[in-house]
Amino acid sequence: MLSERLPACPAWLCETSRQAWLSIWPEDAMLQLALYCALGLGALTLLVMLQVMLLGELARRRASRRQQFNEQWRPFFALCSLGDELPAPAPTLPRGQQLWFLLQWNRTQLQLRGAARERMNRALVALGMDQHALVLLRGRVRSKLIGLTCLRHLADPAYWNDVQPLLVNRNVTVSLASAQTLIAMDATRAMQLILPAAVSRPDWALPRLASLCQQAGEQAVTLPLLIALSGSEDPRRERLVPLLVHGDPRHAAPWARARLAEDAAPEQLQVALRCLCELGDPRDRGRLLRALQHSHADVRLAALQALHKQARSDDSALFMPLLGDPSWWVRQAAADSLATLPGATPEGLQMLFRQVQDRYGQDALRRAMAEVKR
Amino acid sequence: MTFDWLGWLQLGFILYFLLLNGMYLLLNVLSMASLTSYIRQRAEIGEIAPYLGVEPPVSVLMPAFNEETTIRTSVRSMLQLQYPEFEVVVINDGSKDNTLAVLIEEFELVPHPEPLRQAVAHQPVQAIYRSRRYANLRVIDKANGGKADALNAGINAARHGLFCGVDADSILQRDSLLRVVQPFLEDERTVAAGGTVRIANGSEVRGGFLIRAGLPSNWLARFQIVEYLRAFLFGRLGWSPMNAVLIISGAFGLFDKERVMAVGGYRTDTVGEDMELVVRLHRYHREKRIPYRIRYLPDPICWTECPEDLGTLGRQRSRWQRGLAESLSRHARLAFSLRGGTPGWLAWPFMTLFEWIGPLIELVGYGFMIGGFVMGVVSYAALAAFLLVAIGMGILLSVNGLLLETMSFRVYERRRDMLRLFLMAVLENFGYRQLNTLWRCRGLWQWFSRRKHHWGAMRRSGRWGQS
Repeated sequence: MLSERLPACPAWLCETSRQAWLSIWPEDAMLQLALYCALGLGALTLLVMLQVMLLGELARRRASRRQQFNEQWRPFFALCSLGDELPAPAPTLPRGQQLWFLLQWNRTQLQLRGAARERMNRALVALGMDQHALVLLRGRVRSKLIGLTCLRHLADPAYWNDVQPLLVNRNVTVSLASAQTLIAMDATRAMQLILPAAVSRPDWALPRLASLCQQAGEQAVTLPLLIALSGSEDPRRERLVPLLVHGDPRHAAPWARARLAEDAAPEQLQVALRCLCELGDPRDRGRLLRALQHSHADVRLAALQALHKQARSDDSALFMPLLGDPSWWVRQAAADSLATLPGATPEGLQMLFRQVQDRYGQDALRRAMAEVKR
Repeated sequence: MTFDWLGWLQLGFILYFLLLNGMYLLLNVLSMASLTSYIRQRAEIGEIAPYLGVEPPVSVLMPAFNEETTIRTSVRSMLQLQYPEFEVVVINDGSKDNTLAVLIEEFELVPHPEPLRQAVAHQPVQAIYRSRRYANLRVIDKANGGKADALNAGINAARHGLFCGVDADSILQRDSLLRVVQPFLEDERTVAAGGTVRIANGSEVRGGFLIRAGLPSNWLARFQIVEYLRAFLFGRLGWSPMNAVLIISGAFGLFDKERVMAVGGYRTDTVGEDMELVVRLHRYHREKRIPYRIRYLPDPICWTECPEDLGTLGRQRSRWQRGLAESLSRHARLAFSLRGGTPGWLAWPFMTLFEWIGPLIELVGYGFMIGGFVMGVVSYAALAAFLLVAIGMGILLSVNGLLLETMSFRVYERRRDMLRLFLMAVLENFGYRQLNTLWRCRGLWQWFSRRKHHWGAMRRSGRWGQS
């Protein structure tokens, strides 16, 4: 047998260590358990630390490879953005690095404008990487997002049918990213899909929708939004009302006037007043003056701001009483309006200041006058 | 039959320590899941936080008391933040040094007649200044009233709907505001969001920005780095998905101003005003059944200078413990209310059992086991079991903090730094942790004896001010 052929362990080595181990190993069962626990914890701690070092090392290596890749491709991208032809020779692109390529391409696109972006788009198509972006749309969340970002930069309606199904994706980030890509391709067509869908998507946060509306532009937003607001009975549509401020005020004005006429909820009135503020139509003055008497301070503030936009030099009498308004914000806005009235002079403002009885109104006007001087 | 109370007591202490560390391990697992999902989401959004163009404007409130050495750098760093629209409001809370003079000289401040909206109470304001160099910088000079009082004055002066409370001895990473505002954009129910605070001692700071993270030569500061990693990366991150974050560090947190005003602003009769406000926000929204979210984000990083001497560190820890005890005791009803939810039924008992009275039990445990062993009442086996489990679990938890850091942000990139932190994670369990327990018990005593609170004056190195 093998064990018989092996030299026997010398007694001074094996026996001594066994004796030493037995002398320190406790006889008490509880202590033995504690020692097992401690050894287990120690081993676990070392394993965790090993993992820390391993993860650190992997991340360092990945960062270094990525750095090399970027250094190789950055000059190529720079040349692509400068000329209409694809620079030759193109560096070889291993299959495993196609994702890095698209990430770097997306990042470069963010830094470019105008013709340079167009040239970069042409280069991407020439290299066949648009097809890889389409493949990514079928991958996991991260891949989908990289693909969508790439197609957003391309903004080619030819890919519409590949992107549109992702608008109803359960993942919020993916659905909003696809909305952004569709807007880049065709804003008007995209908003006709996005706004009706937004009614039933409470997970699409309003600031994100506002950002999409800004990207699409008011021409694309107004009509589908008005249809979504009036053409549906779903109470959730009310959530979209604040988006009207991103629409064309000329088209939103009838809606706004109707809300003012029916004395809608304060939140809707504020949006209506903001629309009329943008429009700046003097024929709305009567409506604005009526809203100035509203019991809700935010409505008064919105009416005041709308009136300020179309104020005339002789409108000081309109704003002076508002310096005594119970709302701090209305007082400040009234003071700002007075201080910036057309033709207002320091002397004229001083005269107005002397007429103010309300202490808080005086404070507000003093501040506004100082700001104007600045 | 005689009742072996000593045996049961020994067992009780060992079980408490097991439970304490077991719960922390559970929290650690939750944090790991939460962090993985956050990192994935961040990768989806992109490494660089995007401007959407719809970010709400933010008022950065910076209370300052005797900060002449660092205030120049801190304000300058705030003014260079990447954010579409923000203002910086420095509140000089009756400093006795040259803080105001430094600000006036550095930023060309001129008096500005500005009425303050008295939505929350605070000590009288002596003057308001605006900068002639930076349109978005104002300084409020007021009578001394403490940090919470200064923040209340800042809330009244803030012009925007969101405010970010920042310590005057801190510097923010450039995109911190952009990142910490994301929960407000993603979920309209968000009322507060807090970010991670890291220790800047030993790091390279230039022009108000942290250029490279490094480890300090001071051992006390190194221990605190491990401690902060543990406290932030699983002490708070684990609670966030359950909407049960009870602490948003006063050093860096973003709040909805109107909601804070609705709960009466910061309380001035507590030293832990930051935690107190968050717990009050929970209570307010739960009692009124208003949907809300309070989030903690692991990566909007705020760098701060930590104490490097035992005296200052001890005072700081006692103060924190006092603040914790005040907040938890004042809002005990949250736990016993039908509407308490996860913050009341889970986070409050956890904090009470392990953070509030934990140091006391720990101290009594150490005292009983060691004293009992000396007197021959506690067996060698029980003492060894107690120490092995307590210390072993402590080390494992600290090393897990390092794992979370490596999995996520890798602020400390060098191998040598990680090995040093590992060493600290081991060594802190032999003396430092016990010292911390003593300081925290002192804080509990101060809370119990109703000692008067005051600003936590800290000895500054002033190194940032020279950069």
